[in-house]
Amino acid sequence: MPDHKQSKAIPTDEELMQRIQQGQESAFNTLYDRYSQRMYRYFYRMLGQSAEMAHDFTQELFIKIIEQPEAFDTQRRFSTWFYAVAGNLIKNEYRRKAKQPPQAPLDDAHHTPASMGALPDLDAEVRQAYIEKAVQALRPHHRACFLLRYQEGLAVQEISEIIDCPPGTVKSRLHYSLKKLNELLSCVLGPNA
Amino acid sequence: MEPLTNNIEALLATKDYGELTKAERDQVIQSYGQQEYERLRQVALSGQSLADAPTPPPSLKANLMKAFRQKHQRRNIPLHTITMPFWQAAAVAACMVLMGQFVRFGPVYAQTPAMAWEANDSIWFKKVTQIVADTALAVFSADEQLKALKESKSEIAATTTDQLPADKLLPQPVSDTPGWARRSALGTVENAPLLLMMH
Repeated sequence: MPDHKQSKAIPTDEELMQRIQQGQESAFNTLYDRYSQRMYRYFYRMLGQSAEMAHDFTQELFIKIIEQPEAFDTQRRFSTWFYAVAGNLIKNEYRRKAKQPPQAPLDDAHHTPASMGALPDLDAEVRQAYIEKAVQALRPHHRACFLLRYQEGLAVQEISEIIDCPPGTVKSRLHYSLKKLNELLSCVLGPNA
Repeated sequence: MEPLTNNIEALLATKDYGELTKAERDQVIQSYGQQEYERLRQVALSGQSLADAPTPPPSLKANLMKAFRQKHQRRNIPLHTITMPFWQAAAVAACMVLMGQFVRFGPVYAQTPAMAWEANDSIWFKKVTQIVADTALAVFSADEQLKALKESKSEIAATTTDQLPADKLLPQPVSDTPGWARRSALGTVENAPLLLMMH
């Protein structure tokens, strides 16, 4: 019973969107607090780790809600729709540039050879930099699946709806992402790391 | 490496090898082996560690909230934010005064007078009193009495409401006659109040 009361007190994303469609500022404020960081870091890693582009794209995404809140069908799941819109913005950016986003070679990170053995006492900051570089080395659609699944914690089914692919394709992309990252991070993610 | 089954992929995302049940371990050992599972689990955890950073700058929220207010609250413009040159404010005020005058006097004088009385006082000043239909307090039909009154103006002053045929008085439509208009139509004929219009 208390859970039911709590769920009533905390509005769902879809309820917030209904209120935004009625022009309620507090609803937009709440929705921004829920999604701004997620979308910002998603753009950041999908657009070559550019803070400036992440800022601009996050702003553009929320401006779409402000300008055309009725574009969202409140019968749908909001997070799926929102990530799908974000994905379309990223695709448009790739098309605009007419090339894939820059894929920095892993060896550039601190000039450490990839063949180096496991470094159990590797500094956490350096290790994080390796992970960032390795994720950037993934192909965009593999990276999108990996980030949505492990960074954002979305289910395979929801990812398949976001990127408009069958769940089997999502699983396949996740498989290749893990395999690739396992190779690239073999020096960092040892059994004792 | 075997393609990920749905179950093992879900396990990789949520459980360390040590947390697996016996059935889950058997499934993992058949597909990957313990060492391979633990390595892939580390990769999955590295993805989860990306969720901590970066964070959007506070200015982004401020910009968006401002944009939201501009879009959805255009009608609520606070008056103190409006700036205007003095001459414009003066011109607006003058226009409002003129409009007020037109509204104040326009409707009453625009109407054709229902009747007008002329009377001369003792030093030969002519006084004209006009009454329009809107300004009558009561309306009654008394053609014969009116004829009599017209023949003898001096009797007008003697006419009072007590002498009027009350059964012929009609209710006056007050909705169209504001108080100030009614008062402005009250005149006097030879110092007696003239309150009625006859027709």
